[in-house]
Amino acid sequence: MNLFARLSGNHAQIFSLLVSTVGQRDEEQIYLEGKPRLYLIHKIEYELKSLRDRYKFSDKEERRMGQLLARLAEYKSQSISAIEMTSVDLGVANKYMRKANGEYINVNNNFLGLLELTKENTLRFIKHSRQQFVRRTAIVVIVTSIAMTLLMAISIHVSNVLSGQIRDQIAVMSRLAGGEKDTLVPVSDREDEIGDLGRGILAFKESLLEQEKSRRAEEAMRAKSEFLANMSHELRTPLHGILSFARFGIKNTGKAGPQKLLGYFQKINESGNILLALLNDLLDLAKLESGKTPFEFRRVDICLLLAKVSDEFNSLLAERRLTVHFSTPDFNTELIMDPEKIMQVARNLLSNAVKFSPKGGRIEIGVSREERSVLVSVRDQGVGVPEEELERIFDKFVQSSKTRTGAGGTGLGLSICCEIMIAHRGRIWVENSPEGGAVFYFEIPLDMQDETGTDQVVKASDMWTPDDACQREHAV
Amino acid sequence: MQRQSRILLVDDNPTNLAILEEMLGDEYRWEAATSGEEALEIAPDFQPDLILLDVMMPGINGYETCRRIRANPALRNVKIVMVSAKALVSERLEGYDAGADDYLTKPFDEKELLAKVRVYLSREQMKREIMEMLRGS
Repeated sequence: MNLFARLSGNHAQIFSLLVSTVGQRDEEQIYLEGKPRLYLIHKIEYELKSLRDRYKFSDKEERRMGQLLARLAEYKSQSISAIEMTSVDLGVANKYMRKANGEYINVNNNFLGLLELTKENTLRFIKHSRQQFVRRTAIVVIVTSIAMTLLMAISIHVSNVLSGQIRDQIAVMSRLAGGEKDTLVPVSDREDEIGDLGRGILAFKESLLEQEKSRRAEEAMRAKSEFLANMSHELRTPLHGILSFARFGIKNTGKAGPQKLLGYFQKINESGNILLALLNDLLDLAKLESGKTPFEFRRVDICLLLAKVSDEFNSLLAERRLTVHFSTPDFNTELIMDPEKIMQVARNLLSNAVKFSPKGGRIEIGVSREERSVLVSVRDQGVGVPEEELERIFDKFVQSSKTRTGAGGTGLGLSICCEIMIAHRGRIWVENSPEGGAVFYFEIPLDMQDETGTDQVVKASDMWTPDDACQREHAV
Repeated sequence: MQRQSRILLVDDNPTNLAILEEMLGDEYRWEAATSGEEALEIAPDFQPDLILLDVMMPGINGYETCRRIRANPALRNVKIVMVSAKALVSERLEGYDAGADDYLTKPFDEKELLAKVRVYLSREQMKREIMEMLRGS
């Protein structure tokens, strides 16, 4: 086997380097190249020696190898001398290098001769080995890229699976943060970070729910104490009246005339009635709120009820020179409701309208048919309700700031109406009329009407929540 | 000639006004206002020595009414006693912050109210007398 044929890969490259210098060296170009050349010699020496270590040479090959190494050693010492001389005298070194270079070319030629190769053969071999190298490189590149692609595909898939789960959890997180506290948190039994994330979010949700609970409890406490504070104030005022005027009566019995005393009694009576109305309303509201008020639902014509309530106000209307316009609708207005309770609502709204209408004013009662309900409106020509109070006037003890003065009332009427409408799964709200005055609406749903209603109807009522009952958003 | 002391009563509740009117009787000259706005309208002309001011009123409340009265140079020195059912210390302090001289919680004792009225009015009277003396000399 040819010695040279045993060289491959980078061995061949080194030989090619060596070969490429053959015959191409121009003496004039070579100055002070001792160091790079020495490096090349070292490299060749190393390659040859490692070749000898790796392969078992024949005697003939061994001999040649010995000769090659001897030449190299000779040439090495020349190069070293050249380098050493360089440091002494540049001119001498140059001359020496030129001389050495000539020998170098000889060396190379001898070298090739030793390897039994012609220049053409060598070049062919180099070309061949380069092709081989290219082919191998190509194979390596292809295999590597396939492996890489596979690896990437797998990692993309895995990361998709992971990031999908993370994305899910993030969605859950943002839903929780957005206030959807019922959001289900998917928790896997995984022991890795994804599992930790799920468990973390679950803990987050639980703490949110805990906070929500304590916030609600606090709110309820606050509402309760606010209610108590309001109530004690509202109770105190008429009681104060009763006690004060009774005291004036006692103090002035001897000196005050009967007219004065009558005045005291009237005041006592007035305050007593206010107190009684307040207590009745409070009791009504408490019973309604706790669900203890019995409701008797039956089919009644709402127009009859409204006419009846309107009649109750006749004397008051005449006194204030007010007129009520009630346009009877042309559709069937029989609805299922608790007539007493609905009358209470109508009475309350009409009483407000009467109270807040200017003298000679006009009150309109309207009944209209909506898609799923019957809508009753009571329109007055009073001062209307300030925009910011449209919602609040349905709260307990809240009276419109524009109308409270001297108007009396317990501040509970609309809260009671609200509760009654909740029980009817209906709504009550107020809007300001563009022409001035307020319009109160209450709505009785039609799907109350038939217990054996279709699914759709049941669904519509299922969507109803008590929070909607005293709907205020409806106001423009 | 001694000027009769003037009191302005401010309360949105007619019963409360009636009680105050009955208590003060004929001894003082008084006017009644049923809202803060009305009080601000009446006060500059009526020139009261003392204002009995309710806090919880529709429209501008007693605190705001008090602040606005204090902002009026002609009324800056009038004595203001807040009369309110709001009894918490914080609520009373808010009253003092708004410029009230004193605070009385409802339901009040008639004798206490009359005593306070007397004290504030006699001080006003004294102040007026001193001012007159100074002006005279």
